[in-house]
Amino acid sequence: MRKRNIFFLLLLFFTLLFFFPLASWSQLVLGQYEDEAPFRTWNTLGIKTASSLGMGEIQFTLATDCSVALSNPALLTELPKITFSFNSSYHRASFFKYSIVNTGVLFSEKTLTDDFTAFDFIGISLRLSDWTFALNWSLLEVYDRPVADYQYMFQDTLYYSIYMNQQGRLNNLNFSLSRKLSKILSVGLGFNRVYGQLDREIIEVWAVDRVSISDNKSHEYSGYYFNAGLFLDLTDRFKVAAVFRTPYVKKSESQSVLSYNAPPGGTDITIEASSNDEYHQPLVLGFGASYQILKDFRVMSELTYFNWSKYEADYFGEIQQRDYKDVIKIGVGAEMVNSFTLFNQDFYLPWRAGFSYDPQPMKEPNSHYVYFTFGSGIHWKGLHFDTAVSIGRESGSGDALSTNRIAFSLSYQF
Amino acid sequence: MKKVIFFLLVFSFILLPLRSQSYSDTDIISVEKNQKIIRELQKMGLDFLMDWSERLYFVCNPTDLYRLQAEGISYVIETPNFYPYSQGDILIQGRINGAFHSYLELEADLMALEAAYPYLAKVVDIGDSLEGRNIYALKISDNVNLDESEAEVFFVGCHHAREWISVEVPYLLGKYLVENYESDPEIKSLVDSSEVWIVPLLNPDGLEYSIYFYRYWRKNRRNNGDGSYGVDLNRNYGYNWGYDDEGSSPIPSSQTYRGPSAFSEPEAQVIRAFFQQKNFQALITYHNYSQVILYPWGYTNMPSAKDELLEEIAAEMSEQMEAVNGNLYGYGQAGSTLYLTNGDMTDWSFGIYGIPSYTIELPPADVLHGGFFNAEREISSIFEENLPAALYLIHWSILNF
Repeated sequence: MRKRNIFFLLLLFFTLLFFFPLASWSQLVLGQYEDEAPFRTWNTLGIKTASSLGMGEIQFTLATDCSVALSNPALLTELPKITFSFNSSYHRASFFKYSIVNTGVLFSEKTLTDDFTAFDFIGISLRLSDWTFALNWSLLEVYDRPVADYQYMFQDTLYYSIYMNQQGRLNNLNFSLSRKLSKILSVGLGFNRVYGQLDREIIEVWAVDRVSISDNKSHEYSGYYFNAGLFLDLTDRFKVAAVFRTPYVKKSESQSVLSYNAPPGGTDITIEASSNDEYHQPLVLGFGASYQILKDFRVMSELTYFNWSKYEADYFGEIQQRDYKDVIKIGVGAEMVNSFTLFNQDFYLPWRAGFSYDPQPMKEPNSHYVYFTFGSGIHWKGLHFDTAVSIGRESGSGDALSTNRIAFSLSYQF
Repeated sequence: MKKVIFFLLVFSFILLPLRSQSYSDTDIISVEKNQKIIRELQKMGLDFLMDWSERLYFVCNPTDLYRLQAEGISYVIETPNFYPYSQGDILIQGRINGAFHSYLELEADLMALEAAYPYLAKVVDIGDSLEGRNIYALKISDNVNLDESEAEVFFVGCHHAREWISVEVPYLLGKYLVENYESDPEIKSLVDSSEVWIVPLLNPDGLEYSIYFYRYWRKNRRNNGDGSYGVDLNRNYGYNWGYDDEGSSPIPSSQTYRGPSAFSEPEAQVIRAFFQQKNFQALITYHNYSQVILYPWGYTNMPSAKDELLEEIAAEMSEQMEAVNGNLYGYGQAGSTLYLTNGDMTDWSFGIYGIPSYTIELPPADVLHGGFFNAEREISSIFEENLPAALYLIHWSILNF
């Protein structure tokens, strides 16, 4: 009996060992916030303007404004003859482990937050005969991090300081065309050029010896991809959409300048490097459907697949370890529209709510965001003003990250 | 029909390959020529260069190398054999760490050295770091695949991640020995009569963090569980480990944190296991900065029983080093020359095995002249002035074997 127990315990022990994660290069894999990780989430497909954000980030199933060209250009055929839209947003997100913060150099007792406000979309669409064209610009990704600035003072004398700052933007210029192929089927294609930059700076100073070390890295991004979609207007109530974005290479002309400066010793050492780097962005596939339950009430849902397992980051000539998995983002939303008359004018008030499940691609930690979104607006004739808020919470990393966004958009439809 | 054609055109256009091939940062590699591998390679569409001496040669970019690794196809980096070897630095320039080696660059260069001098050099994976990187030892000897009854000497670099120069000196020592074997009778004699073991990079995890995140990272990458990271590998050896809190620290966030127990770190365990298999006569562990030669004891300022011998060897090494560039390397017992250290490698190797053990703190001499930071152009001169000390210690080991 005793031998059996020992055998059982050994079996249990080795079984548990089998399930233990293998050793990995974990400390160089930060998880959510690698240097090249976008602010908030890795999963970007076009941009969510206010009307989209309010409905659980539903963005390629309904023709809300001309930003749909960035995710599903087929929906352009559903817009009025001319549509002009722009959007601005306020973003706030918390960070815990990024760059030199909470990876061994600088410690924070709790998560750090960063925010920014940006004018992030402007676009126009125009229908000529059976064709609809659109030209859009959007702020696709942001790479900002909370600034870390530590100073050690003693008796009003600065002895040591360390400063870290990272900022970056990726812009997207889109040209799309679409066409209605039949009463129920529309297709569309978009050509997208991305461009932007990322700059990271770490400066460390030992004031007494007048020694400083600075580490500057800058990246100029460029690349292009296509996105396409179709839209099926199956019945008055039921519509479906399917989209895809090609995988693409985000190229980077990267520069690194690492320097050590000690004027009292006449020391000025610099190590400079430049490289043509590549970030292999994933294929994206999406499927969505909407259903008009009542005349003024509809629901919709989208599934978006990101092929992150093919992601590669080639950074200064070395392929970085990014052990990523494919993910499917899920969005569910609803919209109800009220109307009222004021000064003999008809006004419409959309009320929107939604939910989105946004798994992040890294295998370790297995992390995801859940967003609850709400939105409203006022529509008068062709003028649409919309606003939305998204409240997101992360779980899985143990860092309890949060992300919030408020968006405002204005569209004029002729 | 027009609509269908439009639809097909649109989608076939999208499916055109979007990625163009980049030929920057390419390497020439060779793989064994056999039918199974040829079938695998045909699928991968590599840039074929030539078929020579039962091996196939290709031009590969980093992505290709990654794919080969993923497919489990072993390859040899041949690039150095296609250029004059003096251009070695050019191959690694342009990287983020300049002319200094990263983990992958060192791995490739060690493999290239083995491939270029298979009868003299052999790369052995002696264990893994905490994060799973290989710790490589380069063996240099005649009949390198045999374990002969010869003097064994050990050189190790990069206990401390930020001391990038400490990777270069032992690596260049290995390179010098094999490259000058045929042309220099003195080198031939040393290599024929000894087995030189070189571990240029003991702390690969720390080095990578130092390259990619924070230049002045020192320790390994142990998550201490209190928000701090890293154990000082050169305070983790098991001879008088934790003797006091001056020569090492019990505080995890300290730069000299000795770890929760002696040999708690896999990197130190690898060295212990390796020493158990060998019979070393002497060793040098490279660090920087200070420009001094240190010998045991480090944990106390009391001299060891072999103090005279240790000093005599150090004095000879110092004299020979000064003769190269005129740079004086001071020398003395570690505990009374620089500062107290306990749990360091030389106390352990001297305390357990009784062998002459030296820490060479490479240039610069002080923080105002660079501290842990060396210019790329200094690599050669620092190596050259350290070469006679290493050769002298090999020679001494042969004589005392």
